[in-house]
Amino acid sequence: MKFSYNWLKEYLPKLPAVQKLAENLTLKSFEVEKIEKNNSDIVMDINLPPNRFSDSSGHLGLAKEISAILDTPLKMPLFHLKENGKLKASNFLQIKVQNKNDCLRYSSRVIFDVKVKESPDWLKKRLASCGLQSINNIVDATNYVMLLTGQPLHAFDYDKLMGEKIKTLIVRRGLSKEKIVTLDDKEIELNDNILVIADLKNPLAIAGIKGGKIAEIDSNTKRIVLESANFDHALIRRASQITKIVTDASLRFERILSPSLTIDALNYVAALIQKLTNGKILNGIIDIFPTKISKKVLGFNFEQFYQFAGFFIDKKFIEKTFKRLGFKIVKKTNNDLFLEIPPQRIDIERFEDLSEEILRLYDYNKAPAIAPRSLILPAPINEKALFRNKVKSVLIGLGIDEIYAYSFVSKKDLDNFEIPEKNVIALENPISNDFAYLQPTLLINLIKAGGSNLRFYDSVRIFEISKTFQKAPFRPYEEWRLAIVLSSKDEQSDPLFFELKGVIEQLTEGLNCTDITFVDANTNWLAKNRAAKIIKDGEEIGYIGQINPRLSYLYNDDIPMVVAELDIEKLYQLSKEEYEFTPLPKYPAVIRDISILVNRDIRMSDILNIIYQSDPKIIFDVDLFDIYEGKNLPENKKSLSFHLIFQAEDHTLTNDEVGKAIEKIIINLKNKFNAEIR
Amino acid sequence: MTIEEINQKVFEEIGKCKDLKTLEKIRIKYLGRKGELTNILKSLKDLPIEQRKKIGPISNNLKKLIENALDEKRLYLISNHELEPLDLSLPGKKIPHGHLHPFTTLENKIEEIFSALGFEIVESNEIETEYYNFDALNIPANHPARDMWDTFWIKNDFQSKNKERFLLRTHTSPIQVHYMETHQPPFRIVSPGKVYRYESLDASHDIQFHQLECLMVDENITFANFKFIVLSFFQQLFSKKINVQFTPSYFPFVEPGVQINISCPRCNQKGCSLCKNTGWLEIAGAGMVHPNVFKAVGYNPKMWRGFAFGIGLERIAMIKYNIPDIRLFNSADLRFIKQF
Repeated sequence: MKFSYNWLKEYLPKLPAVQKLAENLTLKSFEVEKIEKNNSDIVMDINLPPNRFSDSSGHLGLAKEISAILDTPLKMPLFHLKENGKLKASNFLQIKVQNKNDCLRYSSRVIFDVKVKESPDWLKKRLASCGLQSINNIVDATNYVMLLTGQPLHAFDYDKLMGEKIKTLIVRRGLSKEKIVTLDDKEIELNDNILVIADLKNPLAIAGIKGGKIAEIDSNTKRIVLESANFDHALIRRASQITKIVTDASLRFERILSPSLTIDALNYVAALIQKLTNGKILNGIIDIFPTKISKKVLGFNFEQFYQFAGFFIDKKFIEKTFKRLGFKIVKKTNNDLFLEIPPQRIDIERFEDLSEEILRLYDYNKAPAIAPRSLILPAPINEKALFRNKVKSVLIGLGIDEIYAYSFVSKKDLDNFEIPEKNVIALENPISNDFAYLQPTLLINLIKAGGSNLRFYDSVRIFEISKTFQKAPFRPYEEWRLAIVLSSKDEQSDPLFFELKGVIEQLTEGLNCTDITFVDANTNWLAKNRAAKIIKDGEEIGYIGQINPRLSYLYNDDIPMVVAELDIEKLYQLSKEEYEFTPLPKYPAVIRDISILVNRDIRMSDILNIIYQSDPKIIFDVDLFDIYEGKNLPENKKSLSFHLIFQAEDHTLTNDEVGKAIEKIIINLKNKFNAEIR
Repeated sequence: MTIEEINQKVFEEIGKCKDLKTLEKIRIKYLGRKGELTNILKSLKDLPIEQRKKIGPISNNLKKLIENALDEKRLYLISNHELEPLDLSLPGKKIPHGHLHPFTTLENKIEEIFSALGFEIVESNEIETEYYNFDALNIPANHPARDMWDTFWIKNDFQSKNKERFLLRTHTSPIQVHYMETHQPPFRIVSPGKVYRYESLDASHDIQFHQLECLMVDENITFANFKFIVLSFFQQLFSKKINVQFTPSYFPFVEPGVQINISCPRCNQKGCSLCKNTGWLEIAGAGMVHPNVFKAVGYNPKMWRGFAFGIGLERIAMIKYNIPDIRLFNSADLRFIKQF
């Protein structure tokens, strides 16, 4: 919000230079975001919190705040308001508020014999500093007083209102099918959520937001009605959203303004218009104020404050600070102050608010830093977070880079991955089509990331641990997942697949989650015969595979890419925290090698099973060290070479025992797989 | 081999030998269980006494000589090893190693600091209800402050009867409510996580970023305690002397509300583009927990006091690692990540 330095100086004769002023404001009141020269003026752009609009969004209010923080004298503006003496406003205008909750106060004056013309230069300059355009003297006066007091104002052409002798303004909700043309010639459709100011027939203004064409002030206007009102902030906020009109007035009304502001602002503007146009102000204010606000008196206990602050501030300073802020001390004891809070300070409601006033004017930065007296107990460890970090450490150790991507995916992504839209959580107000759904899997964005990185790298190895979002019938839910993508221009898909499988085996071993198995599976976005479920203790914890050719074509330029996604929560639950020691073998192991020739389609896991079952007591380990297919071998055959490791728990194996075991293995392999021993 | 042959060969071999492995082979060849000299010594008992008397001392003598020569040579080889010249300036073997996202590194560092201060790390969901993100934090519907958090709303096509509104959390503060609803003070917690804002993207704004929430509640927490924790944290995080400034701010769930600024570590407050020549960088929103938040979770605000603050983690990473554009964090660009 823009404030003119020159204007503030009118009320603060001892105002320091703008830099120093801005520093002080930022430290003690509001952040000054920008300081700009504007002709002969300097403009401060101030970030005013929503709860201080009521008292500080006008130059006079801000001047009061500055006067308090700098302890510098405030010179109130003077205005001379002379009522006409003969004509009574209430004989010419009546105001009806249909619902007192919609309009908390409506104060109005009527002025006759105005002359609409250009504003004087001093007025134009003030408006220009604050970013407002000059329209004519009447409209400018209402804007000027809004900038002075923070209270938005509006002027209607009295003669354009319906009615003969006494005219009527009604504050009511809009009707369906009712329309209003605003001052900037836009036609707005009204409804029950929009508050309007109307005469007996037509809506004349969207309350608190924008005036209408019908009762517009123009060069022929002679008699005017001034409005200084207070509307329900939520209603104005909603109406502003519905009509998509945001104005200086609506921005102020959306915050909460005090109904106490209307009268002063009304008198200021009436006096100013009188000064500018020699108009006649009719006697009296028409003031509809159904629910009066009562005086707000709060107690402040010094001891309570010292306990809250944790350090001592002189009682005299505290008292003086409250006075500077305009809080009247109505009663005082040794330990307590009773303060009457100015009605426009709607932000002051309780002890903590009063403490804030003292602390900030004292300067937060002068407050000491004191270690809490409470005992520091060892913080419980978050095992799950720790587990995710462990996963990350293992993976970077295996040469895989961690990335973060967006949590959103597009409709197109869903289509490409053949994920039905109805199964995915959608946003009501996405920022764009690319960010319209919450990711049901990490792999969509990780595959995309793989593809885009391949523009700069020949091989990409990446992982991400983030949330995925799923739809349950009654509510959305989310789960942590781990996804890994390996892709390389120099390698074939199959070796990459086994690299990724190796990564997962290394990872699970590192996490002490051993004995995982891979079971062939079919999913719609992994390639046929290149997809497997990852199983641990009968539970599926994820899957691994090569992306199908269509996705590869769409996202990855046909460069081989293998992916895996794991449910990291399940992985956590299935991983053993504790390691268990197995006694070291007491008797030596015997290693023998064996090479066999079998049909190519025979699966390794089946062969291993048969070998192990042949003599489970002494076959300790089987280690495949060579696979060969191709030259010098019959078609459809592969040669497999194993190290067989034999060991017994209770004695040294004899040649005879080992020989018999190997014999059994060979017989079984021959029977089962028609294997040829080489 | 005869004794003469052994005598001729063995010392030559020992003389030529250049490493301990070969030396051991020589020992085995002559003095091992089936060694040449051993064989001769073994066969002595089968010889006539005369010959035995003649060859016996010669063989035993030779054995001693060989043993001495081996010992000497061993000593020589141990103390005078010599390797072929090697270009040690050749590059080391490339051992593949991945990189953590800079954000993970930062989060770990931050959590370490807070752990040392006795804070527990807790987590909560990214999808929230309107109640936890706003109402319970003293931001009721139509509260003017709601505009401070531009919100992504989730399309509610669930079969739920009460039309609860779901959203992507706009800050990590809902954890305050979740935690307090299920725990009794005193406690101290921190909670890192992703948050989302409906914003247009530019170098300093992203629709998805990370925050860290900190909350401490006890009987006698003071504003001065709050300052102590904030100062300790930031000074440890930036590990060099930095200044911390508190300025007034407004968040409905704290009172007083403050903004925490740190002295610009890049220019040491001389003024630079990072701090827009102010010398200060906004880094966190904070304050003493508002009594209405305590009421919302069923605590008696007269019994408990606390403080809370929320830090934008990307902002810290940008300052700490000199990263110019917030969008890099979610870019998944390895040219960025491999630098860390």
